[in-house]
Amino acid sequence: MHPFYKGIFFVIYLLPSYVFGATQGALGTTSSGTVNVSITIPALVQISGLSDITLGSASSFPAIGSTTACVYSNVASPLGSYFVTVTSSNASGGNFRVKDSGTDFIVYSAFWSNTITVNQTPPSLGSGTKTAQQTGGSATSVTCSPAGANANFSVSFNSTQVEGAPAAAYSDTVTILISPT
Amino acid sequence: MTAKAKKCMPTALYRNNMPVTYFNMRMSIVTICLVFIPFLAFSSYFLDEISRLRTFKKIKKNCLLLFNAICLISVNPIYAANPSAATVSVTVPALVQVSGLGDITLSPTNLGSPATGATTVCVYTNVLSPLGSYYVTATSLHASSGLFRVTNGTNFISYGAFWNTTSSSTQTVTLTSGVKTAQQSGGSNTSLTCSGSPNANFNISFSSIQIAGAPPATYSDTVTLVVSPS
Repeated sequence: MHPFYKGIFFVIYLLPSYVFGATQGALGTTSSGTVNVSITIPALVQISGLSDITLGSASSFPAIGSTTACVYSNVASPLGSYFVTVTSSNASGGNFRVKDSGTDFIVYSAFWSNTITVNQTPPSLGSGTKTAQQTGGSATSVTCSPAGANANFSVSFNSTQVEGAPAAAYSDTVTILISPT
Repeated sequence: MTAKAKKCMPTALYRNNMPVTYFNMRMSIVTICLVFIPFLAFSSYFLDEISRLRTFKKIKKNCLLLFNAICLISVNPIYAANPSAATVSVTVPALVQVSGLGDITLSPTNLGSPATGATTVCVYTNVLSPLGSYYVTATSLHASSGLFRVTNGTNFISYGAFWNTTSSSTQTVTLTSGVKTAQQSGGSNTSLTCSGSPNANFNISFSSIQIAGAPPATYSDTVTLVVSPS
């Protein structure tokens, strides 16, 4: 066979099996085949360990509530880093709002801390706005073992925000989205 | 027997696994050397002389026919003496074959459930007890202490590997890298290709815990599956 055609034959028929393919065993007193295993792990994140925040009947202000969270991130640079986007289901103009059964709303402030401690140092979160890159996520444990948590989400109602609201029960659902970029 | 004679000896005639042509061949050679060659020389000379006489041409022809017949009878006993004695013997050992393997490629997008993958397998075995039985030894190229591992060249992720004696990917037999399993069953003893229906399954699983410690990258491994009859 002409060397050129040999080369074509090798590239088309043999090279793929050498580089990519599983190999098959032959009949014999033992038989051996190979399987190539490949797994592509993308940048993965996970948030867990969240709890509801119930302030009850707030009589002193600011009224503060929080929940710890566990953030896992395998992002390598920097290790365990992530971004947070928190969105209020009753948001308006980037403001977090709770709502009663009617048409009344109360604006409140929301904060993210990359430790388990409440930190309400301004600026507060804007609903639907991704934060700057956060650090402190666990890169080794999806349950943030052994501490169990490594972040904190907190809310605050000050007297100015509450003063215009009729007495009622107000609620909101906040979605916390963690992303690697 | 000379080497030349051995080379000429037919190899397909045996009786009780022993060649039956040694003696006959030796006698034939002796006969040819001591009897027929001198006879041929003498008769050729003699017949040439008397063939000058037209009346002896018929005699010459008949003598040559007789000579040829004698030669055939003398040589052919090697084959004719034992026309039905040929015995063909072959021993078939316990044979196995693994085929139908495919690569396993995974791209998990979340940590909520294990990342799993599988390839069906065709196992042929002629082992009799029990029929269709075999053993499997799976070895990870990047194994450590019996753990199957993928690597990106720097980091490693261990994973679970399993064997199933059906085409199902149910994780029935947990594999340890380099360790032969207990005897498996279900191999085909009639078809090297399992008649197109796989009869085993090799499958793997990455738990979220196993993935969690690894930075983003593509990790790979090569698993060698050895099927053996014992």
